[in-house]
Amino acid sequence: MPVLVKIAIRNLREHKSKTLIVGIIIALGIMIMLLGNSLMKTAARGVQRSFIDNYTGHVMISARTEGGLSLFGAQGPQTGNFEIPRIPQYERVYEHATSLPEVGNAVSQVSGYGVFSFEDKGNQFGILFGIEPDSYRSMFPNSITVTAGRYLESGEEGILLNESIVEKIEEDIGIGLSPGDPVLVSGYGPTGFRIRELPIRGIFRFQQDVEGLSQINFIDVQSLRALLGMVVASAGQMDLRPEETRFLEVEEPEEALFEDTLVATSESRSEDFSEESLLEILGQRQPGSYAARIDRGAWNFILLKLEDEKQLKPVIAKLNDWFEAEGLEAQAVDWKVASGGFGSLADTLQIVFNVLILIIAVVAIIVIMNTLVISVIERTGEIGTMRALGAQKRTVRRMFVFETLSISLVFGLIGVAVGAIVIGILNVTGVAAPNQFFQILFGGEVLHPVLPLSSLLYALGIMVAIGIVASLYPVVVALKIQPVQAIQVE
Amino acid sequence: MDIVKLNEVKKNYPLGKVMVEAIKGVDLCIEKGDFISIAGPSGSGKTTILNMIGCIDKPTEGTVEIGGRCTAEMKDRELTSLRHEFLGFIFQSFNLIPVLNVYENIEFPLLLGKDRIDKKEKHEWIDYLIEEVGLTEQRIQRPNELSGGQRQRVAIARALATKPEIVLADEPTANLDSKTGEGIIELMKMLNREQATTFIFSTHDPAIVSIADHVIHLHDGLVVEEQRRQHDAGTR
Repeated sequence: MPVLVKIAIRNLREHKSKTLIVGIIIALGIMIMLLGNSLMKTAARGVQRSFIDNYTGHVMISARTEGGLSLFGAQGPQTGNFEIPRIPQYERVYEHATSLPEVGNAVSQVSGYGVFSFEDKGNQFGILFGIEPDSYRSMFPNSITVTAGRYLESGEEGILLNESIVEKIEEDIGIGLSPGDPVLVSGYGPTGFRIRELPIRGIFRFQQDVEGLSQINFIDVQSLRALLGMVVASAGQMDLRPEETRFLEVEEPEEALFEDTLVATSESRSEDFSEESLLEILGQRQPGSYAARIDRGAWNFILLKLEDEKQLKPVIAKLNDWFEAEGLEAQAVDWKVASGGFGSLADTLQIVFNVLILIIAVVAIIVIMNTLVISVIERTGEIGTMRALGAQKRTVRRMFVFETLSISLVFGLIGVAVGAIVIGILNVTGVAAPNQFFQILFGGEVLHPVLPLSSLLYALGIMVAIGIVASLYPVVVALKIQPVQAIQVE
Repeated sequence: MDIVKLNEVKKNYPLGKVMVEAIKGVDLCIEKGDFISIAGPSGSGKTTILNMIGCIDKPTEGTVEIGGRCTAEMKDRELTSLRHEFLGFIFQSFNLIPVLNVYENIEFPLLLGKDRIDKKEKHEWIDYLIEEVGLTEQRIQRPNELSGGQRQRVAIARALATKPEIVLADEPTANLDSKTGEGIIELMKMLNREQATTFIFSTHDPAIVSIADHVIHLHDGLVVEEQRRQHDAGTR
């Protein structure tokens, strides 16, 4: 009914101060909501990008664990457990995963903790990512920049040290490391400490360097397996100086290796005992093929990059279903789990932000409601007159709903416009991360917020909802006005 | 034919903790086309009677029949429709919708009902009413730009917009000076004759009581005197 719209709009114009109070609250609320949402979304995307493109891919496959397992090791209550389980029947899992049409690229990885030792001068802790250099580089082509020396080459042993670790060693221990230098690395596995001297092939830094990831170093996978005691048929050379052999005095290395072999074999036998597996075990007794199998078999993780990000959940579900159907003790998780909680930071902040929005909404509703109730009471005579002249209750209701809707729409759009302009400005200038925490959150040092359509629709939706909820009670008050109250006008 | 019929109507109001008997038992019959004045001092129950006839108040006891329909059992929605189709209201304090101009105020009741009338026809009818009440020049002015007398003329035109059977006017001249007031009553009387619309107005002003054909004197909630005068030729 256009006359009701006319009355509603003219009333809003007539009561300018009231309209402005309500309007500014709505516009501000929407603006804050839009701005916050945009920052959140952009940050989340940044985090997502920096993790997916640089360390985790979309999907991480690992052995099934009870607690959370990330690329950095165990999470939660199991923290401190240094042993990351290896993927059972790696070859089958890898072949199946890479055969999925949604999967674009895949790479395998071994993770472990290591200590760089400098005789009596000190030690430096580091996270070691054991990789096969060529496949890793093709998966994450732009993740790191080599600042000195060169990238690892396929088949060679060596280590790529993180720039921040090198700086720390220089600062704390006073030893300057450069490419070509050897470094002593000790790793810890189920069979205790193992130590190796490795040549530093290069020094690198991550494209998007954030504190949590500054501990990561890359190492050829064979060396890492040796350090972690994963390799039983390694032809690795242990060139230890006498003072280093004290690490080995803890137990008999040969015996430990032997035990390890036994355990591994019995596991695989109990899992799938078939003619094929029997042959496989028998085949392992030949030294050459034994080594080859381990080369392809002992991995902690397979990281998958998908063609389309939207396929993330279906692919994870598909993989997990397959693992279950095949009786494999493996699991597929998303990049957030893989990143060990760093990726979930944005999610947590989104929740905090949503609570904030809720508070803003409640305050806005109360203020708008209060203002509207006053406006209804002031117009008692007018409403009574309308009722006396034959306006049904629903007409009165409609009039007030029009009023709230038009005010929330007009000022909401103003809020949206101002918010969009501010976001536009921030997009050009960028928001600098004030500290490391925000760097992780922003997925880099500078955030260029964008305005996703979903945020816009979300803000508009909230705005309309606020308008409707806030007008509920005032409408009830208006509907209680009797036509006889028309004569109480003075 | 009696267009309004009040049988043994009583109305009590709570005033704080005591009940005030505003109407103590009134029987009344009003014929179609009448021009009636309900007269009496303030507090005699004039407004209460008008409110009950206008279906915006219900009696405590007794029945009110409007156009042969008893209002006691009707729901809010039906009463609203009855008011819309059957009744027109003129208030003491004009009660125009402040944000609408003269034309829009008169048009307002026409936009409320279910029946839609032809746009052109509606336009001509409203313009005719504006001309009848002499506000052609004030057509697009807002109520706050009009004098009291002009506002009441708008209210009269608005009351007649839906072509009601009965127009109720509660003290229509109370907020006007005596000359303007007389003019308003004269206008109502003229429209009463032209449109054959029943007019019922209340007043405590003896000067304008005499214009009515049918005067009902109220005192302390009771009818104390009823005068009927011979209709002028051509009234009906």
